[in-house]
Amino acid sequence: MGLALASLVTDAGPALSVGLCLLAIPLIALLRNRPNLREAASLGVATLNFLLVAAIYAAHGRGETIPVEVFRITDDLRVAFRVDDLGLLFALTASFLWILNTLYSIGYMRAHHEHKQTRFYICFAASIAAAMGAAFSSNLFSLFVFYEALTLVTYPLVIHAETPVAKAGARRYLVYLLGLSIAFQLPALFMVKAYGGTFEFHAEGLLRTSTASAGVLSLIFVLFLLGIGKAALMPFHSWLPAAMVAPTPVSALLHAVAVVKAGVFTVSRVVFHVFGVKLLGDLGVHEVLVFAACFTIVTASLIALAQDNLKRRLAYSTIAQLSYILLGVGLLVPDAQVGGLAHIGFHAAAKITLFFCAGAILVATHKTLVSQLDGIGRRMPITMGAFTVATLAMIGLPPTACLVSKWFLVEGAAEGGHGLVLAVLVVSTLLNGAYFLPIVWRAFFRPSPDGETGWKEAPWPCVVALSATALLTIGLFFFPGIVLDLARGVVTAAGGVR
Amino acid sequence: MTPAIGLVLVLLGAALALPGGRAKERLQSFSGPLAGVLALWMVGTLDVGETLQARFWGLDLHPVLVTKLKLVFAWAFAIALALWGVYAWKLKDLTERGFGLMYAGCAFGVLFAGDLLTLFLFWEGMAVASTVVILCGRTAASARAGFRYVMVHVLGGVLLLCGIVLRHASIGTLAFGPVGMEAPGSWLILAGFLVNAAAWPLAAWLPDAYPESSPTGNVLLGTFTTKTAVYVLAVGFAGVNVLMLIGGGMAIYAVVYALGTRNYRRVLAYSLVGQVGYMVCSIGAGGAYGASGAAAHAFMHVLYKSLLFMAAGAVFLQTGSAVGRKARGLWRKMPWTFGFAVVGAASISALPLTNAFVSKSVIFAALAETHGSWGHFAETALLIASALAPLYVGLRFLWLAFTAPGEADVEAEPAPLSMRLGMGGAAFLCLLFGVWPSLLFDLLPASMSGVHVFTWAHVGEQLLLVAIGTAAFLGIRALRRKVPFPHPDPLPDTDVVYLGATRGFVRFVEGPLMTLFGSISAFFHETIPAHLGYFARNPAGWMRLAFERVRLAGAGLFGSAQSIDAAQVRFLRQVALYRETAGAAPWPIGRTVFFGALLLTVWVLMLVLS
Repeated sequence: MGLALASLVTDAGPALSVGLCLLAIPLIALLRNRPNLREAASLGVATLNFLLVAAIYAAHGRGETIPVEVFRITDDLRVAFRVDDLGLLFALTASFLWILNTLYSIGYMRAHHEHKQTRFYICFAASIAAAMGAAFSSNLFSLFVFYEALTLVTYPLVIHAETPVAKAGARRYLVYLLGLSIAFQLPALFMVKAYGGTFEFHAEGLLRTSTASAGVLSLIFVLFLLGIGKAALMPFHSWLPAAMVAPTPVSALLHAVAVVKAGVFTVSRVVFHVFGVKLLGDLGVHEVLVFAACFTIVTASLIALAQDNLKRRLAYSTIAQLSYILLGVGLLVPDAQVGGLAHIGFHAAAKITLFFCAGAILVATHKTLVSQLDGIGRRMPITMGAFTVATLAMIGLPPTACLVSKWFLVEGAAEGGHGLVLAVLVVSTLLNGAYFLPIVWRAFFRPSPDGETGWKEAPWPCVVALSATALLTIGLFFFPGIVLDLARGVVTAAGGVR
Repeated sequence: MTPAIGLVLVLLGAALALPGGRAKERLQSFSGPLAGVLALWMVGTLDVGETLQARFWGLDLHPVLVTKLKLVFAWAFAIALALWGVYAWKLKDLTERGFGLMYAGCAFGVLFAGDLLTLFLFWEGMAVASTVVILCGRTAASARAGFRYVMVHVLGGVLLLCGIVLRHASIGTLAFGPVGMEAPGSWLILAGFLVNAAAWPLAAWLPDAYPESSPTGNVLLGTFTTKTAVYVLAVGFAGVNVLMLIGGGMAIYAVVYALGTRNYRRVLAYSLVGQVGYMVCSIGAGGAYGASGAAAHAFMHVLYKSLLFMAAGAVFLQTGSAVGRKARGLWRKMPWTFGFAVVGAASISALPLTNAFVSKSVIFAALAETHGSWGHFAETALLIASALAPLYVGLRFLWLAFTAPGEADVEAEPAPLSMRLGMGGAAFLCLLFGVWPSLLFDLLPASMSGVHVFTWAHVGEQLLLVAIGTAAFLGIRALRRKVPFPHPDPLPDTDVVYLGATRGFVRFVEGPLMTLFGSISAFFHETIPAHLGYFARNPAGWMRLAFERVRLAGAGLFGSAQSIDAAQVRFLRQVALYRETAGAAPWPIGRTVFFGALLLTVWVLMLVLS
């Protein structure tokens, strides 16, 4: 009986999850004239969705799962779901942080007197639906559909302010993400079908039996890397800073968690379940990913050093941190892959905290530049305390979760004998310190220019949300089990762990 | 559970102090002595061999493992914490109090860690907490120094992390014992440790930051960071001979630089580096006495250095100046502080019947057992430093802080009673351990039966050294009177190099590099879309523009002046045409979507048909 229930949850869960998020759309639209109910509906659906994903997590691993088809165009082109460790890692991260982000949005959007909040909440729900769909997709086509859907439904969120700057940013966002997908990812998809015969993911890589030449397979991999723009691998990263014109909750959940993590998630899918670790190792083409990630980590950190706009600095930090994940996955060493995948969850908690704080500062004091933050720590001690915790995480200092992923990443690099990678990690740690610590230092140890010292925090929902994510960042340091086990599960299934 | 875990209570003390911004001041005052007493009690209840095992991140760890060597350091730390608690009774800065206690707790954590991961975690905790303690100097100078300090320690920490992980990856263990120099990662671990030990050429952070801390913070800083580094070196790298070279260098460095400054707090900071140099030498010598000599000297050092930092802090607090210009006749105003400072100065000079005389005996016993040129170098360097120490630290400190002729008599009250009590306790212990060496010797891991402290030869040798040193010092003074030797104060240190390089690098990143990235970005995001847009609206015009540009270039290469002018006019006309339409949206979103959808359809069709 228990087993039957478990398999029911894992079979029907993913579709239910997507459906639930989509259900929020008419609900929010109907309640558009009653803001309190509208937001309560958002929060309720977010909570239900997380509980559902948690139930899937609990039920997962008790037997075989089969792809459950929800929609088909042809025999090959079908949207289907299936639960696995990698998808759960992404889905758990996004669905949990959606709850906190909704809470934060309530405080932020009201205090900031944003217009068109109904559209905002609708598109947000649609984005999470797309993210859930991408997480649980059982084949490459299905993943591609949700990946593109995510771009389209986040566009209205980026352009939200409807100012010329917002329009320009949103245009760049759309052109980059759609353009790269169409120009590179779609041909790659096409070639996978031609040379692999199927779109269905396989634990050891669907291309493992392909008879195509090494050159063709390498080309497919490089096309994927170029085409998955959401991973923000340089030189196709500049849509991310451009997207910072969006309201802060959007930057926080979508451009630090859901959208960009969908990018690295898709790259991970390609590495693990399209190519497989063994095939990639034989081809040697993963070196391309490693070098691109190393280049991105250092270059993005350098650019971050020169940014005065806080959100832009955070955006470049995100670009660098995403490449930590890609680096870990691309090294093809089990420990590094565990570290990289775990960083999906850990970085999410820390980076969403940083964006929450940036938004809280904006709401409470209307400051956007790093150089304006002198003495802000005495006015907003909770916010800047949370910011400090997240800063420690970005550098990889205890007691924060990102040290865990960094530990495994460094261990993997050491096992693989990658001296260059070690050097990059050292340099990047120093650079992270160099562009984050001055913010903390300004906030707490420099006098406020206007001489004001009174307590002036953002609205309480914002403060609660950012405190929760900061605590989560610390909590995951002491109890990284769930995230690490899922990451280990992915790597073990790929035949990696010793 | 072993009582050692209770040491983490010190961390809890910090947690209590931090949000207690509105707590009663009297209660805050109690937190210091309470933490000290708690620490002393816990160290007293520890037994050698006690251990605690845990599984963390899927790794098997020993967060606590008590050895005899650790207990020596633990006693020193607990005593220092208790003395600090008394001395800092009136400290009102809760941030400093809280992070100070956290700093102490992390130091204990490093000390008792039985594995490298636990050690690393507390190591980084120490770096963060000590940075805040430095920043609590609350001056512009301390803020700058604190930032430099934290960057050096972030570097040290990440080197250590890489070293530990390399070691774990290659030999599969995280246990912290002798590290040796063979296994991969050893050099990185050594480098990480040496950063905290303020080993030359990475010593500059210490005299840069410590003099800027608050009087109370300075006592903690002088105790924990460098001494935990000595401890980890003693466990991990005993007998690694290169350490003798480094330690000897540190001792000489301290002499030279301390002579070059008139800031008495800075003098003490330099001499701290020099004294750690003794310990590093002892560790490098290895053998029967090496690690024990370092531990013994660390123990004694914590006592007299705390005393000196306390005295310096008291003077600084009462006069508001760290440079010995205002201090005329201060010893009359602050007789108790002066008296305690004399005891500290005598101790650091290793005069017989003070505690450093005891521990230096062990270090020289360790060095006497070594062979080879590095050992000789270390021995010579330490002899020179020992000969000069009474003068360059002892007398010079007393002179600068209490007796230097100033412009006018300063208004100074005696130090508060709590401060005098703290100093008095430290002075008492300095003398106690000086006349009763076996108190410490019984704690040391190695048997000290071969070390003779109070022999006529040994006492005579030390007095002779002091006499030679005095002569040399007076010689140098006389020479400097005759030949003026103007120099910057402080003398330029190695940080000139890396700070200069860093500043240059940041300026390069913010200037030329950003300009380059900006122009690349502008080319792809503005120039190309603008041309595409013009092409879409007016293909003929765009081709004409391109053609005229080529013609202009051709004329420039081959044509006459007249033809160049003509080509230029034609070209500019085309540019003007281009500019007229460039104001419109360069590439409308609708067109993007149209082309995107078209391409998408083609691909999907190909996909379906294949």
